[in-house]
Amino acid sequence: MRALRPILERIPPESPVSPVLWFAVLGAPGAYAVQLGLGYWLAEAACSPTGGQWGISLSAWAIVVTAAAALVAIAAGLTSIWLYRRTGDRHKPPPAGRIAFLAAVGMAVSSLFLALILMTGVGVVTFRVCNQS
Amino acid sequence: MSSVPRSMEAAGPGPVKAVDRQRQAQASGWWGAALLIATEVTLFACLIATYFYLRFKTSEWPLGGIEKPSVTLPLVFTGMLVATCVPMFLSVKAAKGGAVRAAWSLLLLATVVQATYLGLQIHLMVDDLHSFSPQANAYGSIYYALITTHHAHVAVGLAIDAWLLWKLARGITNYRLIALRVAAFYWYFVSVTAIAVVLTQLYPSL
Amino acid sequence: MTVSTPPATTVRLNRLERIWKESPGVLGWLTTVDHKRIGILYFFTSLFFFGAGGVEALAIRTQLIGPNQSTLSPATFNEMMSTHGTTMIFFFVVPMSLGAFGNYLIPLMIGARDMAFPRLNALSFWIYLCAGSFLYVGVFTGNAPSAGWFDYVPLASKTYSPGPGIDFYALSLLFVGISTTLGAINAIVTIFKLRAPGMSLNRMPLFCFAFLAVSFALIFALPALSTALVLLELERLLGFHFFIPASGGDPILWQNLFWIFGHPEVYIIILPAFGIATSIIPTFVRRKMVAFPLVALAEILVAFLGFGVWAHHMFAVGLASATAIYFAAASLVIVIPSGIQLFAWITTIVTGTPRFKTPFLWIIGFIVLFIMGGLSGVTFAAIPFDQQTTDTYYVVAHFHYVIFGAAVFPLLGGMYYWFPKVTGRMYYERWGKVSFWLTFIGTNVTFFPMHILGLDGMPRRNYTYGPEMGWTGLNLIETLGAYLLALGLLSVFVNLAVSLFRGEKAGNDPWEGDTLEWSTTSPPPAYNYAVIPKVSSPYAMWDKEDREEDARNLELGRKTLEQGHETPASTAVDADWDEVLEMPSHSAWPPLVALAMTGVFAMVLLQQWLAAAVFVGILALTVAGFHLKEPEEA
Repeated sequence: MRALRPILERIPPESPVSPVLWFAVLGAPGAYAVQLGLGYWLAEAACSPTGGQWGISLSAWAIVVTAAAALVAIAAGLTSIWLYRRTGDRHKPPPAGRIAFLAAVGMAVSSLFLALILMTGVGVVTFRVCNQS
Repeated sequence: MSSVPRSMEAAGPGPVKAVDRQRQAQASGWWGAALLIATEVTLFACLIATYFYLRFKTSEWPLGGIEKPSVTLPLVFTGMLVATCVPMFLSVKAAKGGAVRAAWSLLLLATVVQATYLGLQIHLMVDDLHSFSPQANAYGSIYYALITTHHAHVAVGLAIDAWLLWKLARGITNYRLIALRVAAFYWYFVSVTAIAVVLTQLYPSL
Repeated sequence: MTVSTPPATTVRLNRLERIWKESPGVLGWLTTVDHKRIGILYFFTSLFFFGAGGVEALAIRTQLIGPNQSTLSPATFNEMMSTHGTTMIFFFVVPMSLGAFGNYLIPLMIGARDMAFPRLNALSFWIYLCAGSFLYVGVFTGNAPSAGWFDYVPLASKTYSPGPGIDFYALSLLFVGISTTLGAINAIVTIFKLRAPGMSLNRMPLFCFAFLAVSFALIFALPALSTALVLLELERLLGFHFFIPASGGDPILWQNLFWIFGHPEVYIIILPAFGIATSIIPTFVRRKMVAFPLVALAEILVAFLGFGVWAHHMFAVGLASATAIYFAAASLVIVIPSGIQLFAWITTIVTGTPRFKTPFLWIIGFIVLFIMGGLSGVTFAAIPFDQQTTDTYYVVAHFHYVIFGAAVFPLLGGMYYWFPKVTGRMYYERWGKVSFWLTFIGTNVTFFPMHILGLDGMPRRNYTYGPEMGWTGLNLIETLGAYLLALGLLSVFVNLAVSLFRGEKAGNDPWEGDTLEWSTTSPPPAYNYAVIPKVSSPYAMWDKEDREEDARNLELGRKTLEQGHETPASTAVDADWDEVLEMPSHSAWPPLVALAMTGVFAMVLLQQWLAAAVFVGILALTVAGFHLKEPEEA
């Protein structure tokens, strides 16, 4: 959390545009979206007549992208936990209540998307990639 | 509660400036425009995705022996369009600060350059039509579909500019300031998509 | 609550009444921008399309009542099947959810006096009406589309569908897409900006979270459909090549673009139903919703994850494994947010004190049908299983359980629930219960056997089947079920229609509801709220001190905003009061813009390009007309 200190000093979580707060909520879904977008395009490219000639190693890319996405999701989840422990009660008036609410959301979202990111990565690496499914 | 402004009543440089300063969040009109722009960005993303989807289906690209596109002029023209973001930005800044005449002149400058851009791009497109048609093959179809969609957005932007020039000549109100900010936002979006479109259009030659 | 109204209050209410008065007569309805009137217009228009889609469904079921029937020719069957799907999805369920329920209830639930863009709201309605009429002009002139609601190429290309049916389909969907996009933008900006000061995100009703999710999904899904339709029409009308392999195109391109829209669309169909269910349950079990943040999250997540599963509709077209895996994984995970909601609803019901009134019965029916539909749905995430059951009646069973069972049941329950608020009268309770049971039993009798038929290999979209297949008995049962279902639905609407004229007067709050709309009169006054309400939780009506403070404010003239056609605007996240907005009243421009747009689409259909360009010019002029009068000049 020490890394976040400079950002937190400039824009605290109490502000509605706090980057730390919105990273906690949107970090994991964003990482998944990048994994899906990049992965889908790489798969389409690698398995197409043209792209096949470029020698894209789909497994290597899958491992790299999955690992990066998973790290972002874990970071978002830890940030959510930290924010929640700071504030606690979502029944308080804003901004404290709003921060606790969004932090709870962030914890749930990050765990779910971490599972999805890992499942997808394992799947892509396990199956023989360009065979028709 | 008495300090909450009745924003729509603000007319004239002073009151409009005050209302704009006091407002904490973006105006409703700005949000509406942002969401509309989000749909248009998605539209362009779909068209560009279609271009590359079709590209990856074949080994030869462009198809049917069509010549690769020339790079220089499209890039120069796109640079011209992107440059108009500067007068648009300055126009909004001037209007927010109460300098309505300056805002109007900057908007006029931007409009003239944007209109010139459109004219030049249409000229290039007509040239292209002499060498290959959209009905030739999938390359021709997606090429023209993509650039025509972009040109249509530029044309709509020019209509917005024209309306704003007419309205701002009659003075500034809170409504017109929001409209000017929306117009600037729209042109930033058109400029960004212009870059994406031109890079896609010129991809075979890059 | 108060026995006699103090004179100061009466003066204030009269002043607000005068400021917000709706114009009388037909002209008043044509030029209205009031969200409640627009909601009612949407309601009746979508009911009409529900009826049309229902007739088409009954025609299909009648044709399939036995083997080798000739009630409908193969061509007519294909048309019925296509228009049934298209009408129900695009012209009934989404307009009813977003246009009728959303429009009427969102401003009331957030303590606002109208939507953020009232004239745009009216425009959305008129465009919808014109677009639906546009499609049905095609249907009634013998030019119905017949390539299914999903309209796959090459069947939908000029070669195999030379008539204008597909053009009617494509253009009417582009047309209605404009309406839906504008409606979604309106809903988002309203929910972000017009919430009563103090209603921060953690104090917003779950209904609004659902509608926020739906609207964002529409914003990002509709452009994919528009792209697909424009490319199709460019190919059909102007000879472009996108989907023809010989010219470098690919039919799978259509499928990808369509389903990038199409899958989020089905979550768009069901999310408003989730929102309605989450409103009705707390009221009828007298308990706050369990795990509020998780339910709010689940609603948004379903919309978001819906964008990551589209190719599960394409598992049988020959995708590479690497591509398909992404969608299999996401299709498994998307069950989780739905599960979170289900567990939250069930826990809330079980730990509350339920009152089994008609609206609540519909929600219980919804939960049962949603579980069944969800269970059959998750099986499709397994690619090998999907490849066996694709294009069979198993799929038809699944989506009717989720679209009809899970999306329409809450709509019907919602009609009963909010009927007293909108009309000021109560419906007949016993008849309400009967109508529920007829519909619930009819639904199961019609759609459950389809699982069995599907696993037995009966293909979908086929106009008949042979007697030797052994499918006769179950098909007969399904058709009888369909008629029972139709009877159930008819009894719902007859009940509501008769109650409209003969029902007992309902008070402001017959259910002891939890959200703000129950604090107004029934029906609400034109200005919704005399006082901008104080909000401390998502269950505003159950916070008695806040409601008492509102009454005091009314007497003292605080937060009454009576100087004009006014409503407050707040910041998006924490709802700090930011400004006072002046709202438009009547306007003739919305119907005129819609008519101009109709001209454009009609001329494109007829391939009269010059005339189309002229109408584009007229359209531009009418849009300019919208902006002639600025708010302070109104």
